[in-house]
Amino acid sequence: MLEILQYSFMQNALIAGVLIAVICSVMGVFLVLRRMSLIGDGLAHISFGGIAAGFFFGVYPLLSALIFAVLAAFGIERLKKMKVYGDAAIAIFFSFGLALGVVIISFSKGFTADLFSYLFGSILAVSAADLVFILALGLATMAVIWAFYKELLYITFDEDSARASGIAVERVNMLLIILTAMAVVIAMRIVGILLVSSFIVIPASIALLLCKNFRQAMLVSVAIGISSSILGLFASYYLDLAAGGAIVLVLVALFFAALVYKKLRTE
Amino acid sequence: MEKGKKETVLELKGVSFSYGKNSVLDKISLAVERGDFVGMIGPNGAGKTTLLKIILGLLKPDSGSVSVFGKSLSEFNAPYRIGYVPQKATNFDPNFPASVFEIASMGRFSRIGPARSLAKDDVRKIEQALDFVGMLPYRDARIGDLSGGQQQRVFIARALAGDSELLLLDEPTISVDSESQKRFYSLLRKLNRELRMTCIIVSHDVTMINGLVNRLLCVNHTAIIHDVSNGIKEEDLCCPYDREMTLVSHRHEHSHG
Repeated sequence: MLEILQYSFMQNALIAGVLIAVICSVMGVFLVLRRMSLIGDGLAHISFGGIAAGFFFGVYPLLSALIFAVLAAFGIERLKKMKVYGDAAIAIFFSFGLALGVVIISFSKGFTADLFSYLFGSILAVSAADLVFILALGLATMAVIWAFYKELLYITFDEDSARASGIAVERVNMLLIILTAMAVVIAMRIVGILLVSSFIVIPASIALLLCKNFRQAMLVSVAIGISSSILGLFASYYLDLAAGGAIVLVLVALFFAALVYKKLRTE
Repeated sequence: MEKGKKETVLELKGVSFSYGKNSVLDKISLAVERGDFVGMIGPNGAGKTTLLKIILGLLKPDSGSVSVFGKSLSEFNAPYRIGYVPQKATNFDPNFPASVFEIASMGRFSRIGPARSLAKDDVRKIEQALDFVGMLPYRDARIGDLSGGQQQRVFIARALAGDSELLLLDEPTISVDSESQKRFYSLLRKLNRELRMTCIIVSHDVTMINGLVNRLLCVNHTAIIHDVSNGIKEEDLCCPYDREMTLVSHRHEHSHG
């Protein structure tokens, strides 16, 4: 057995890494196709406020981050209904979360180091408690995605026809954004707040370059997510790199490779 | 005479609709029987798409009642019985990764419901629908790689796959070449004659739908329906263009009601 796999922190990071990859890559396909690539980024920044609040009030930070992200998800949908443009709604909550985080930090300087590990992610950071939280939330997220896969696919392709066929489009849309909030919180511990959205967007974008049908796009996206997650975590361990950064660099490299491959194939 | 045999699939009574202060539809009443093929014509902005959306339950009328398959729209809980091919059906993202089979399968989604996958029977229905429109050989092709006419046939298959009994088509052959248009209309004829599918089609092309439709619905804020089983005549095209005609059409409705 590889020496690296004997460390419990590394086992935790790998288990969490694979789960995160599956969830973010699947969500990414829906979000990228719906032109919602930046929602992950927005919700991650809002969670930053949640993390800071968690530290300040002594609440488990991932839990407070989840509460913040889900409330913001509701808030964004609400603003959209009140005729605020979707991207503006995201930007408003995005700034709010960041501002709140920064203000809370200036109150207390004690936990800035811990906060940093949330901003940039860390493989050392996944404690047993984190792993339990991530696993529970992750499995719940996957179950919901599985249950509403058909509905999500239909509204992603054509909202009007989906609505006419009797699918509760507004409810499924709400579900999509809540699932995104959950995915962001799950991914944050390892990839970091600042890099979460690339984990959602890049595997899906690669899959969309290469695939002809939806099922295949899902599978390719997940395969890319998992392999880059494992590769990045190994690189992080052996080369002493920030985990999130390493994973995202692997993803970006794969993206350009896919781009070149597609160009060569079509020529 | 044959009234006993008739089954009313769709009935509108005094339906009015406005966007804000702009009245779009004014007291529309009509009834469509099973097996009818209704052509809907009228100038741009006359409210044709709005009328379709009201029938689909996507828009709520300000007043009046709509009933489908004998149930009022608010009690109607089987929306998959109505198939819909929207005007912008072929106006989707051409890079969207969905196969012909995946698109057609969407027609069964609301029937199957959440947390269930396609069963063998669903797959069979979807393949039958694709076969009926002649698109089964393209089962695994990406929808965006097909021609406009082929795409339209896939969208028809999507409605068929859900076993819809009433098909609403909103200018389906816009941006389709004339040869494909002819094939598309003959497919609709087959659908109507062989499967007894009730169809309502919005069309600008009166020559194309002549001989295909048995009733012609002229919409311009209000609506008049003509029997055109023996072909569309000049006078049938007389739409309620102005106020005076509106009054005429009201009297027409009252005499029926």
